[in-house]
Amino acid sequence: MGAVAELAERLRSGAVSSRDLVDASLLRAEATASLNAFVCLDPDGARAAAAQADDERARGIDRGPLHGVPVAIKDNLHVAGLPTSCASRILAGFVPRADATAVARLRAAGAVFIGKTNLDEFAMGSSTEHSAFGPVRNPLDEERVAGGSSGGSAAAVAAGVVPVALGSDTGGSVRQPAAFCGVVGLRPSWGSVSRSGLVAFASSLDQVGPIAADVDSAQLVLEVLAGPDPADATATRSLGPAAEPGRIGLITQLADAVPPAGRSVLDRAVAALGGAEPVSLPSTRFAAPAYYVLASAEAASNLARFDGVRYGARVPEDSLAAMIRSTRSQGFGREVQRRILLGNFVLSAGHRDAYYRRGLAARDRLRSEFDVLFRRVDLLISLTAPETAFPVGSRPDPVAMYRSDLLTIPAALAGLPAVSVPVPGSGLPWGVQIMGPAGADRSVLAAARRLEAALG
Amino acid sequence: MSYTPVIGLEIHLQLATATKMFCGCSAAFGGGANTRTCPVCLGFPGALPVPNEQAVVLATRLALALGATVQRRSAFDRKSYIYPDLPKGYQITQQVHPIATGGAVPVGDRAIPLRRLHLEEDAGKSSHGPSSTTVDLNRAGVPLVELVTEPALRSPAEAAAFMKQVRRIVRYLGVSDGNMEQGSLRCDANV
Repeated sequence: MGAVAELAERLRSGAVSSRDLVDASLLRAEATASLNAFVCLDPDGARAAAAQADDERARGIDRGPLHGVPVAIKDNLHVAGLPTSCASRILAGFVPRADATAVARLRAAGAVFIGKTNLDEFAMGSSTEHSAFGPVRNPLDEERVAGGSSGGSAAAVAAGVVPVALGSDTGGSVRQPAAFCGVVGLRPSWGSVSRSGLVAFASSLDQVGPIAADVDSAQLVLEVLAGPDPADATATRSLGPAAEPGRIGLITQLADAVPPAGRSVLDRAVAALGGAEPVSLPSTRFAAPAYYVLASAEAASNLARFDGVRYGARVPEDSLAAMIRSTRSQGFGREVQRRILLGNFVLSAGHRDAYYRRGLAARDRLRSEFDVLFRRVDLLISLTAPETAFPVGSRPDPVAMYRSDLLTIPAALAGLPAVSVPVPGSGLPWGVQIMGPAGADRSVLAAARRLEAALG
Repeated sequence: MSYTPVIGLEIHLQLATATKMFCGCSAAFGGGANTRTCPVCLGFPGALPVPNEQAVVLATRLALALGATVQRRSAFDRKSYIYPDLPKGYQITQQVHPIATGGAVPVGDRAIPLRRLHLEEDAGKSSHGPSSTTVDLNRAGVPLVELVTEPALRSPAEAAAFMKQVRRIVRYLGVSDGNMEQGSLRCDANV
């Protein structure tokens, strides 16, 4: 659908109305229904909001940079009055009364929400195949996955349904699907965007971030999202100044982890940025195991609340214990159950020191290695994923699936801002990832913009 | 042969705050069942805890009055267990970095040493009837300070005197109303 700023300008000048844009968006969503990008559409709500946006415009009210622009929201973020499913059976019937802070900020800036996008259940996955609503298909090749877990948001943007969508990134869930679908995906610094109203998967890793057609649009949305929030005590990070891209480091361990086709894409990107110096991040080899230990541990704790007592689905049984057991066994899908079991195992009294504490130690070590690197270089570069979009149904082995996150996990564990920029080519798109120190989001975006322009 | 009892106490004090430990709901005793609740203390998905500044102030006041060392770094942890009156499946407490350590409570001519003071949230209340159990979550999330003594008490009488002394101190400080009927002051003994 193009760049957000351009759409906003056409709306401002009266060249197009919000009603027109929202109708086009809903039509496009219908025409691309085979992608399964949406869990629910809200045509009535969206048309009413668009009409209101147009009326306000006519009365001289400008709500902000997204006034009248259609936007889609990953279905693990609350939009008041629309169900939040997390693509899980266990949340059946759950309708939040209030917007997530990120959603409220978009709304205040004038955004019109057309629907909620599909995801891996509770954001656990790298392909959006682990959804109670079925897999999302890649708009560039429907036999292939869109990536995950924000696969619905990435597919909706890539298919031209919306100019921008919100996703969430725990280990790579915004960046990897953006790479697979040939769009831009931004994971902001941990703590720069409020998590209030985002259903928690792994609280120390979860971040809300935009997926958009270009870097400018992602940044425009980030600027709307970021800032302190009384409902999230951890939303304290600033985005930093937009420094001109300086020294760039190429993490050798991540560069070596990709096949030759990917390597030549990476080399092209490095050349487009005027070169990069090789740097070493030895702890990357612990990153994926540490991530799957820590994220699963936090998931087991965060998902303990889904017991059928207060909200969501309930499988009636004679006793409370049996009700909870049946509700959770039938409500959660296989991948979520696997992570809950793994998480409870690594947190259990007999294994906590061997797994959970060592995972924390590995994360600490990785963070200090990043700190050291950022004294030498300003930014880091790698591919976003070690591969392009793979065929639907081709990854039954969960560990093989986990490898898709190899390159996105380090920045997630360290809380760093990272953006995936698509590299156009002959076949399926690759993504190149720029990472920076925590609180240097604008610098990361400045480099991404330069890369985008150079790759054209 | 005669034995000397060795008693350690864990005392839970409800702090005299207007609102709960991690949300804006009233922390007052009573009210219609489940009326003093919100997405945070009900453990709804997406809701995040935000610490109550006044609870931190009151716990710090108590710590200073008891000669405890207020820690520069204090953090919350999750204590996991599954129970219907624990909405999130875990209690937010301070396991690793309590707000204060050490200190003592003067009882008679002895000073009963304290191990630690930490902040935590209360659970809800289950009422068991003949054929059903009801859950009231008004108390879920109410701020508590847990005072843990060293195993230094030597008799039930001394333990009772200790409790009276604690109640007098917290009432004087305005940290808690110390009302035992309403559960503002509770005690677990390890003998």
